[in-house]
Amino acid sequence: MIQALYIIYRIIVAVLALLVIWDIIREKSLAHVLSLGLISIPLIMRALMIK
Amino acid sequence: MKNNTLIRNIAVLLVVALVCVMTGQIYLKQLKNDTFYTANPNITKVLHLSDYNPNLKGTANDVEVYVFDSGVPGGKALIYGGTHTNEVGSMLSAVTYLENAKCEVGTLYIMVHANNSGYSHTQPLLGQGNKMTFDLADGTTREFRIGTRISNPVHQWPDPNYHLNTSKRELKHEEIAEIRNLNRNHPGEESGYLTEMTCYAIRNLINTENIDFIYDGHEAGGESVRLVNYLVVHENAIPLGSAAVMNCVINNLPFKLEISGQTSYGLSHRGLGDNTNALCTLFETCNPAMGSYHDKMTEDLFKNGRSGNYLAMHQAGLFPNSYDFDENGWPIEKRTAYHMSMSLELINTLETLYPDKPMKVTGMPDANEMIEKGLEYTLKSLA
Repeated sequence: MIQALYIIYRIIVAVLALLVIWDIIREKSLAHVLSLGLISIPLIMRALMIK
Repeated sequence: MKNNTLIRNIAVLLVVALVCVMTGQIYLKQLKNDTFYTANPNITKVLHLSDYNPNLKGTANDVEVYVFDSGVPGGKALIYGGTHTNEVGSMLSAVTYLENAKCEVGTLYIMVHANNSGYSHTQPLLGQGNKMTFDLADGTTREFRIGTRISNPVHQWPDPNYHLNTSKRELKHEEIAEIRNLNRNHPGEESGYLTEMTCYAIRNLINTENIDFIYDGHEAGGESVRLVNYLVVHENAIPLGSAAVMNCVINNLPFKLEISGQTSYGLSHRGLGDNTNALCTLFETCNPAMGSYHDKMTEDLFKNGRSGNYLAMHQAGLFPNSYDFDENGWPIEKRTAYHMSMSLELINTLETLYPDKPMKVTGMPDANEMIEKGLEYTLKSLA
């Protein structure tokens, strides 16, 4: 059960990280790109289960 | 989208990747287990906690239990550090046993990292240190990780919203993270959260091996007036504890005795004392790097234990009837020596009170010499 939760959690976080990275590529405003860059770091770390 | 905007955005992505690689390495290094000196010829067997709870197999808390079996029948003691992984004095005392002890009568069990998961992380926003190093005489360095008091959420997740654990401790609201605290979940569960399973394995180890007494080493922050230098004992261990503390006082060690609270649910002296036949004890030294008022966090604060903040507070009389806190601080050598002296005294006293359970442990360094020359003098080289 707990193992399944880990997998679901990682999938959600990985999808979110990919969406944010996709937004970084498409975004025109530099301020937004920098904000998205900051957001993506913990998302990537969480997806890789590095704490 | 213009090409230069795309190049700019990709540059930001590269910076993100660089930050992830650089910071990730620090975290991954913290996940790597410490190397101990295990060439002590007096170690007769190495057990694992998974031998006492198979559910721990392959987890971060499948901790080694080093056995020193004298071959001479007698008492059995379990001495361990690393319940709370930022309380380094107890861990280094266990390391000192591991590297030097020789059991001549009875059997000694040593666990260095009781909650190994806790060593793999620190808690955000608490300004905690993550390692300490010792430069030895032969030019080599010994490095020990410092963790935090609870298991890593990478190993045990998610915390429940509410949990009534086997200790009768009700975990809810801000206390819920204590489900990852090894010293709040005794006697534990065979199949539960990682920390509960670790507690169960320790209980099963005590019951299976018929261990006579346990020593759980801890440290407390500078404001913990009723903890520092106290040996906390279960009711069953009052004769052993009081005799051992009295012997320490005769030897000018400022130790005191405290009886385990009836509602200290989940703590080792209560949870294991009530559920095993072992005499359960827990000892605390002062670690000025802990507590809410600690100074700027450096390795030096952990090692030399000199704290301007706590010195000022003690001198201002904020902690009446407290233990001594002067400008010399609480160096790691003193804390390790205190743990070693207290646990050795318990071993020596066991035979006095229980003549059918004699124990004799030799080979340990002299406590005064340890304090004078430092842990660099007593730690063994891995070269």
